[in-house]
This record gives sequence, structure tokens and C-alpha cells, in this order.
Amino acid sequence: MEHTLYITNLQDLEYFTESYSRIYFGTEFCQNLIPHQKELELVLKFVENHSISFSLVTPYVTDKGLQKLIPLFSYISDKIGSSEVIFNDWGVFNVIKHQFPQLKPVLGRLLTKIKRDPRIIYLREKISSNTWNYFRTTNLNIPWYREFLKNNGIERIDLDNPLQGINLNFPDFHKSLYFPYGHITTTRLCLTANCDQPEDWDRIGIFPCHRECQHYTFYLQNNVMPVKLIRKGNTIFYQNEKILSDQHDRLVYQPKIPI
Amino acid sequence: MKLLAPVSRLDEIEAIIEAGADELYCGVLPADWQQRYPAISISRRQAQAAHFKNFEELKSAIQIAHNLDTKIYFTFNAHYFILEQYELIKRYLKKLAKLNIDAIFISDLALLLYAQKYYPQLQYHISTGGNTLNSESAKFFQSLGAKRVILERHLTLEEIEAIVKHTTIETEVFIFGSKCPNIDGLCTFHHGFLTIENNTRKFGNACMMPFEITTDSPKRGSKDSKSSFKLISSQKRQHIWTHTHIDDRPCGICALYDLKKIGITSVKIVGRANPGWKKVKDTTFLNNLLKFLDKKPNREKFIQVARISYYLTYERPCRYSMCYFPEVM
Repeated sequence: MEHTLYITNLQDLEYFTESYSRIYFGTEFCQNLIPHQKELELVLKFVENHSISFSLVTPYVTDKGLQKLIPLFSYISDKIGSSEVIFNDWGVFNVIKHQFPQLKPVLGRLLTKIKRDPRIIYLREKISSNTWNYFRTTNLNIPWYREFLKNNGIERIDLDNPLQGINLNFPDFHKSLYFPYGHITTTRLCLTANCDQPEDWDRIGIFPCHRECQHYTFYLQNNVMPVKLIRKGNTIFYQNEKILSDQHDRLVYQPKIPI
Repeated sequence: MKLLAPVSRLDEIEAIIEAGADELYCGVLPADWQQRYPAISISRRQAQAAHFKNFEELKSAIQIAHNLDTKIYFTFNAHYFILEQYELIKRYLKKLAKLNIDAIFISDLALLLYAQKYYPQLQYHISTGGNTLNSESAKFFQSLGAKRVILERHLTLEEIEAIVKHTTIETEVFIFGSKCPNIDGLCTFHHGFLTIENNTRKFGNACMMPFEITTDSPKRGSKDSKSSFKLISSQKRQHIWTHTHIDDRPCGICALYDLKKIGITSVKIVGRANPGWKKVKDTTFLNNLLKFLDKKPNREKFIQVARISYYLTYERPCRYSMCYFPEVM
């Protein structure tokens, strides 16, 4: 089992211990948080000093976001050659495939389709085995889809750890499981951006970001949810401390909510 | 620029086309699917009101639409399907091919790969659940045989323009109704529990639920004086959030001028489950604005007329939280 530390900023390198053999660095949820090249350089230096492996984590992006990623891809290609890139947008994959074939694309957890609605665990006794099976399975159990991924150089798949459990019965891929935070939903209409401007309370839209997400975390509670939802920045997460699967070969540990 | 409108009943098709729809989209809740997967729709709408009753009705709908020279598309856009479901999916695709459906909306890449392999004669549109936010995604889906991409709701006009400018694929944007607060294809809340447990409080759409909100930031009176503002604003925004999905008449009509200039293929009205009178009203409203646009008003005049028309037709002011393109406001 490979143990990986997932960090979104340089300060979080403080969580590194000798038990980790890889660092995930970057963001999955917001193109405003894509690291600067200088930060990437420092993380790569740390990786080199500790003789560990590296993966760049990338978010879903607009064309502007793609333009921010391309210099980072160039840099890691030059610096370490065949580094992994976790992609959460098929457009990012397309850029890697055509412009940076030396990079290793990894299917990100946002593109690994499975329901993460925490209420699903209430349904175990109420639904048929067919439906329960659906909620615990991804489209990765489809052979021609896996074939497509393989033909496109994708050998590893990153996954969330949903409360209802997950069936990872496809041995032909490497699989990474994220722990302990899972993603439920994300938006570009960020509720946190400009949240300290009272006159903007009704302005939910795409407004200037001052990285308010780096300072505040909100918790959403409703008694129909079996767990507290965590809203950090533009994304809602859940926390799951139990790992039901034993079919993954990499554990991606998030010491903090990855925003 | 075409106008795409929803249909779910045979007796409303003619009226919606007469009201100005250039293209139609629809769905079916097949009985054998519902029996096996009662909480999972093939098209992410669980209510029967959003669908034709069966493929026989769909056949009639296609005939009516084609007799009026109007294309009709089928929603097959659940975010994902698993292998066990293909026994039924194969049957449905076979039927759709036989019925000469004009296009199928798909979110799931595995389904696109299958459908394109066995039914290359059909056309495929990538649903908003496919997450097209950039030109490279559009190129990716085009390389897999897609004819059109339905762009993510949360894009600005500038971001949409970048996609159209750098691609040759057809593009579609949402213009009216149901402004989903989250990124459609990246949202994993499940819609459709109500068929299992008829208890709206417990199994309603999570994005529309009231939540008690707390923060671990310092409280009022602490060194961080802005924290109380943040908490209050978060609570207020969350409350607004719970209404954006269906609160009446989310709208992006002020952007029609720019969308036409950008070269968008089609603009879409949401609301398969709406009653027929509302579908006709929304289609008429949008069609009148598109006709006005054909007269080549200047941008400022168009936006002015659009806003007044919205107010007069729906008796609501414009609101940021209900606006698809707040940068135009």
C-alpha cells in the first residue's frame, strides 16, 4: 500500500512524515487555487530532497484555467519527465494527451462517477439489491470503458470513499482511495467569495475572489443528513473515517479539507 | 440561433412548436427500468410528468414533430450507468434507432462509447452532465463522435465565447428555468429518493433543503470582527441558494444578444415536468425576444426590452440569484 499526502498549499508540507512515499499537490475544485510555478518548484524540491514521488492535482477549468495549467505541465515535464497528473476535466486530459504525452494521466475522483449523497445509507433496507448495487458501483465495471481508458494511457483511477461503500472489483487498474474527506458537490457560483460584503448577500454569481475560502469553513446541518456537511469554498464535503474497501493500492490522506 | 423547448405530452407538442420552438427534447421512464431501478431514472428526472409514458408515445411524438419539420431529442443523460443495466439500455438504444430519434443527450462516457460504436448513424449531444467548461473538452467529445455539447450553466459569456471560438462543434446553453446551483455533472447528491420514501422532508433534493449553518471561525467580539458578517452572509446566501433551483423563472435572456453574436447553435428552456401551458408561455416569451433580435436592435435596447418583457410576463424583478449571466445585469 502506497501512502500519499495530499496538500493544497506549501504550509501543509508540515504534515509530511516518513510514512509517505508520494505527495499530491494542487487543487481539484477551483482554478483560482491552481498553484503558481514558484510554489510547484518548492514542492518539487522537497520531493527530490526526500526521494519520494509526485503527482500534480488539477481541477475542472475554463479555457483560462487551461492556460494556467499548461506552463505547469511544461515545467514538470522538463523537471521530472513522467510525472503523474490527476485530471478532473476531460479537457485537461485532452491537453495532456496531445501536448504532454510524457505525463501520466490519472482519472481524478470527480470523474469517477458514484453517488456520494450521505442519505443513501438510510436506504439499505428500503431498496432492491439492484438499486443498492448501483449506488455502490461506478461505470468502471464496464469493460469497454476500461479498455478506452487503457488505450488512452490511463492506468490509475482515483476514488472517493462513500459512506455506503464502493465496489472496486476491477483488478486491471491501480486504484487510489481518498481519506477522510469525500466530495459531494461543487459550484462555480461560490458562496464564500465576497462573503464579508453585506451588500453582496444576494449576489450569488461569479464575483471577484479574495480567497476567503482559505480562512473560513462552514458546517451545514439538517437532521435528515446522517453526517454533517462541510462547506469549504465552492465545495461541499463529507467526512468518512471508515474504509470498507481493501482493493485499493494507494491511500491519499488529506490532513485538511482540500481547498 | 435555435430555440430548444421541452415536451412530455403528446397534446402539447403542436402548441409548443407553434409558440416558436425550433427543436424539442423529451424523455421516457420505461416501466421495466422503473421496476428494476425505482430510484434511478435514465434521464435524471423521476417524475412521470417529465416524460412520455412509454416508447409507443415517443414514436407518436416523433411523428408529430417530424410532420411539423421539427427535430426531437431524447434524454438518456444519467451521470453514469453500470454494466448490469446494459441489458435494458441495449433494448432502448435499439428502439431509439428504429424510431429515428434526431439525437440523444448523453452524460456518461461509457454510454457514448457504446452507442457510438453500435449506432453511429445516430447523433449524440453531450448533456450538461458531461461537464463541458472549456474548448478542449468540446474537442475531446467531438473526437468521440458528439455533434453538440450542452455547456455548463456556470460559464460567463467570455468563457462561452472562448469555447465557440476554438471549436467547430455545435454548442447549446441554458437560457431559462431551473438554475441548478451546483456543477451538474460534478454533483453527487441523488435526485429521485422520493419514489422510495414519500417523505419530502427527508428525501427531497438536498440542494433545496434548509440547513443550520455554523462556522469554526471566531465569534462576534473577537479579534476578527468580520467573522460575524461571514456567518450571517453564509446563512443568508444558503437560504437564497435553496431557492435558485426552482424558484420561479431563473433567466438569462439579457444575454441573448451576446449569445447570438458569439455563434451559439441553440438556447434551451428547462422544464420537462412543467405543465403544458407554462411550456407554451416560456417558449412564446423566448421566441418573441428572438424575433425582436432578428430586427437587429442595438445591445442596450435589446437588454432594456428583455428586462421589461421579463417583468411584464412573469411579474418579477430581475435578481442576481436568478440570473444565468449576472455579468450582463
